[in-house]
Amino acid sequence: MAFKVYPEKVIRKQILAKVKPTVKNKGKHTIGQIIIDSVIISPYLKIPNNHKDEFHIHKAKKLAQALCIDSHMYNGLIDCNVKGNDYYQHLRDTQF
Amino acid sequence: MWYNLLTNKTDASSVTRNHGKSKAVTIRIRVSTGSADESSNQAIFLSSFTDGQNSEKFQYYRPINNLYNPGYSLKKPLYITCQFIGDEFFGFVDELDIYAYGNSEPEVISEIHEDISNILYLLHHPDGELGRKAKKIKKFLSSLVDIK
Repeated sequence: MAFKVYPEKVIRKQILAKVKPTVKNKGKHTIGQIIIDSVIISPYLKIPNNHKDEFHIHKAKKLAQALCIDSHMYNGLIDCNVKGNDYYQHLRDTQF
Repeated sequence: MWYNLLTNKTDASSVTRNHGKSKAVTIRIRVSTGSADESSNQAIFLSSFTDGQNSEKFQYYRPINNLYNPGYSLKKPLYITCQFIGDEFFGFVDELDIYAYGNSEPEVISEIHEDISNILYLLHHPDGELGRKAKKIKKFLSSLVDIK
């Protein structure tokens, strides 16, 4: 499945709401980590900015890679089909 | 919109782009089709390609030899994959899960320098506190970076 293109601020909102990364740094980009049970799963998650520019496929691929998900789950995460609990269960199944 | 990508098998290519009638941008990139000299940061041309939307793109490796952080030095060059897509530069290092984008290549490379220093700091944890991917990234960085 191909990555869908969304505005950056939509992706940012969904990541902050569902993935709930531990925010480490707010410079040019917000940087977060995904931590489960004190274990760092994704050490460096660059969260898209809060503006309306489109986040194109080549960037979406890299963001999905940092989120440890494929295009199907990425689209679902931003489209609302995939809930935060589903995402965390996926990480527990694949990253430990 | 058009551009000419001129390459020869020695060491150079140039790309000229014209956006509309009034704005012209010329980008000149030094590239090589052979292996990199480890002491240089000469780009290595990879390919040009299209995305199915009538916009041609190209990509190349840009080796970096320094993180510009007094606490860290590179044991060997790190290759950043750079792409010029639309009107934007995009760079990434797949092994580290990092990417950056901006209006110019130096802007992108500078952000990646910063990202690597940040990730080195953020991964300063025992392996027992790291997941599968984080361990893999830490291992890659250990083979690449000397911490002073």
